[in-house]
Amino acid sequence: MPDSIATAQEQLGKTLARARAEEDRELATRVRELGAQLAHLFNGLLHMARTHALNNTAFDAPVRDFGSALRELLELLGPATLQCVEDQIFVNDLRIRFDKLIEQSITLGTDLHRHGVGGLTFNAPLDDPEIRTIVRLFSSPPGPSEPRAALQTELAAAGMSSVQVHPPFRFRITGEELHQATREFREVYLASASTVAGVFATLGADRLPSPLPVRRLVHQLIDASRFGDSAEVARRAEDAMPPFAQHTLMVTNLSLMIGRAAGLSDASLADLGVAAMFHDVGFTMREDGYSVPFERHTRAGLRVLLRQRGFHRAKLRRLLTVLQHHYAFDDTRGLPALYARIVHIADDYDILTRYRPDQGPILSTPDCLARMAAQAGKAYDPLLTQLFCNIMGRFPPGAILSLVDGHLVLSISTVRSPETFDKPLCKVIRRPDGSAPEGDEFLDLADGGRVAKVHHPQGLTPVGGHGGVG
Amino acid sequence: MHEPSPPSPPDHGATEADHPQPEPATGAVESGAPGAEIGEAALGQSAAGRDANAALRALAHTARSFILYDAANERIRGFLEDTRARFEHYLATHGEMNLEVRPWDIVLGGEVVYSDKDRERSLAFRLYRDGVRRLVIRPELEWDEIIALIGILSVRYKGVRTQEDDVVTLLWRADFKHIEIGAVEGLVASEDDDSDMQVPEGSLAGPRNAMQAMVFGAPYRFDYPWPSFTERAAIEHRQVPPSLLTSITEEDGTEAVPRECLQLAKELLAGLSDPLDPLTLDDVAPVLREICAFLVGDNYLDALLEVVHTVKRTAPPDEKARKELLASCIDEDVVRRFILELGPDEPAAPPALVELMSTAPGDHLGTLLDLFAGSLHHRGSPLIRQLLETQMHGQTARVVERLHALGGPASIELFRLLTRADPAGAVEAAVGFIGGTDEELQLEGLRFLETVPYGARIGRALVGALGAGSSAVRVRSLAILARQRESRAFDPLVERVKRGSTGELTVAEARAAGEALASFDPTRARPLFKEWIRPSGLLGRLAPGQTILRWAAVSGLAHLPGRDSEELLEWLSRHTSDDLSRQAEATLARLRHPQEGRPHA
Repeated sequence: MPDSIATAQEQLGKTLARARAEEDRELATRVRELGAQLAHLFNGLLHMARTHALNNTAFDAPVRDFGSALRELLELLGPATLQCVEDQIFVNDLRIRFDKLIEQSITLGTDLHRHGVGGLTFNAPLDDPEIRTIVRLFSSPPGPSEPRAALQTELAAAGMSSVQVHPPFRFRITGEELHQATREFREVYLASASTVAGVFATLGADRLPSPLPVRRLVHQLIDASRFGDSAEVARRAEDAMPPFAQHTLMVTNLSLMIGRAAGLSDASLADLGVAAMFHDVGFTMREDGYSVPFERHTRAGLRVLLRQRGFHRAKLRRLLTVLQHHYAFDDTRGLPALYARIVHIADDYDILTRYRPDQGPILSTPDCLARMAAQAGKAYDPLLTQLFCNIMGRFPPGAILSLVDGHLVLSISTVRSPETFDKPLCKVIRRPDGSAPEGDEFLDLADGGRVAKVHHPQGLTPVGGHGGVG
Repeated sequence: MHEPSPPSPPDHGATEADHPQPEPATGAVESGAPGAEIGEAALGQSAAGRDANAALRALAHTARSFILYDAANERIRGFLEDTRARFEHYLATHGEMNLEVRPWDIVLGGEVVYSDKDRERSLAFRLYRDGVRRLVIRPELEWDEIIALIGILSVRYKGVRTQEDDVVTLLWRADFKHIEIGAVEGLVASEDDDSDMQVPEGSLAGPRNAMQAMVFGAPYRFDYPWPSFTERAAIEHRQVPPSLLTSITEEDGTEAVPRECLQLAKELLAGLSDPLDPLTLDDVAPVLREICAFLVGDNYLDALLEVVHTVKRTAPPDEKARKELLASCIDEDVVRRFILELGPDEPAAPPALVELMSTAPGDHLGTLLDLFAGSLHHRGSPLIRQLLETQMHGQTARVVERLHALGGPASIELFRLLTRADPAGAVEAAVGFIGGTDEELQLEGLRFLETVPYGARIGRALVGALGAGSSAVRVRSLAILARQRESRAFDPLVERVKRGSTGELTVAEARAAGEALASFDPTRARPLFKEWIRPSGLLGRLAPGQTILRWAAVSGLAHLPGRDSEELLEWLSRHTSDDLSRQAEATLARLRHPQEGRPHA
């Protein structure tokens, strides 16, 4: 089959060309150099500390170099994480390569592991005394119990809370503990908040965007959300999150649900998820000390993401999403890009139904969906809107419902089947006799029970003339 | 992939170093121990082990070979064929290949089937370091999957560090159907210590520095104003037909990318002229460059042109800015890459390409000339020839410069292109040629000059060519001059004949000269021929070169009928011998009986 070989050659040629087009060789080279320098110096300082007092002048030069490399890394990347995983060393997501001879002398992983530490994150530059303190702490004998916690305490006591220590890491293998995926979704979701905040903080400081940590996060969300009702799990996990992360992650989660319903491949879902994660990144920019106003946040987001060099289809779609996620479906400028249309729905739904401490949500979830459905073909893509309705159901999670039998319940499930479109799983708020359950009590409307009335969430004040439906 | 194939590697000119042949099996080697042995070893105690070893080594060779060779290289083709043959053979003979990846080795059922301690070369190290721990290849393996795996490995061997995907995400994206990758998905806390990975509720994700605090504290009303809709619609479940979903997946497909490129380009260009929050050229130009490079690389010329048109339509009125933007879209390199993408066998230039070349700044002629000069394929390419013809006009001097540099058949082919593209320019080129020393070019130039209207410039050149080193060139020039009855050539030609008669002038050339002189100026030619046949003085009769002069005169007299001519020819036929005498008689006969035939030229 000579033709298949020729096709393969062409395909491989394009694969390599695309990879090269996406490469920011200069950045990668510099980070790798600085990362190697940082790891090598840290390793050397710990070695020296075994035989020299820390006030010895022999420390002066390497300490100074360590500080300098760290400062430059922070400039390039924002928070810099040095991780020792099995026999490899990473700086953020970049694996560090050493010359063979140097590699054999690197015992950094072992030195850190003595203290139950697998890596460190540096959030701010360190001065010479601070670097010496870190060297002292790691070269001292580990604490008898919970050495890592003790180390973190000592760092805080020394005024270095910008340095975080992490436990030892290992690689996780695909397929490993897949049965835990459902349970893991909540953990992944919660852990995402830190990643999102870290990435956004980096961008807000005029640094280069790095989609890789976000992409890995999205992969985990996609994998973990296969097995459960991610919308409800996500909603329940939000209490522990800062508002920015709440919105960003919920929009991502809802976008992924729409994308999956639309039949997008996992690879496309990943691109969509990353685009959704960055959709409001423009708000990280500052004008006169304040976040940019709504009117300019898409343009500001574009500027942030344009700092990333190299062509990639995912980047292209991300840029369009950031720019167009407020465009109407029937916008005179033309049909917005697919991911922008998806994120538009997810974004508006979250904005309109998100609980606000001082005034509750703007709309109840069923009312919001009804109003958005009426905009199908105008503000929103009609097909995607129908898919969204098919996912969320007549009584989407968060809906407070009075049942005919007198129960007051909270809808906690998305649609499980077409037959249960208007029969969600509910959590009981109040029994017919007026009593509140002591623990969690559930009613599955698929097993019986009819909705008599949809309420606004308790304490809600109607906003902007939208009124309530309760 | 079920057909067992003989696993002998095809020979595509690869050297032993490129593609070492399997060595005798040495049995399993100890795993680990870097430095124990450098280079891939032929391994395997069992038949399955040996076959797996051969397949893995072929895979490693192929992935590595992209470091040295372009993907289209014939050697790559050979390596791909070999890899396929070896995998087909293994899977058909032994079934599933279940491999454990260790830092230096790959193990099949406890048997080391691949080992290379050189970490730059080692497939095992490359896979392990990139996070792959297990590799299961199922018998239903498809060719596309092997190619995808080779693609991922070769990107890593080439050392390309992408910002968007690492190997873990590439493997995740590849979504193999018949290759199961046991790969790292990320980092998790070690099993013996995962306390920090359990995120305590309520204490999650606190800001760790001022910058994070800023983000954490961002107002939750950032998307104000909220959308305000008053209408409501009934919410019902409606099954979405697969045909409608197809429209979405198509929109998400690769073919949609050019349209999205255009969409983004339009957005960016509109942003340049936004009075409230304008984008700058520094914002826009780099990403436009990336977009256009992609469109060229993937052969989306129409989309590229649309981007260019959009730039022309919407770019700011400032001419400098417009030029800068256009230059960021297309330049001579873009044109070159696109021509290469089309390939030399493309029968004709797509109109879009011609338009692109008329728009794009840069030295396209130089690009085309380089391609033309660079390979035989391109020299014969109808595409290149057509494009050259469009670019040559008005740039004759550069073409001529290249013609001289090229030499040989390439020059002549290029000159012929020039004669079609720019005949006036080609005259200048031809005039230059015949004044030069390359006989082939001189003759080609003369052939061309015979076909164009005669003029003083050509005449001077032809007269000059009478002194050319090549007899063929001189004869051909004379023939043209004769046809044009170029009287200004009379004296130089006489001089040339007299000077050449003692040495370099051949009989053929002398005869041509004689005919030319007769046509230039018959009145002056008659006494001259008489003098050459019957010199008046003793010195003249004894002068060397007399025979050549007489040959010229006989040929000239053939064109000058009259009694004088006949008498001279009669006299000559009696006073010379052999060929010249016979020629004089023949010429005389034709003069007396012109109806019997024309004089011999």
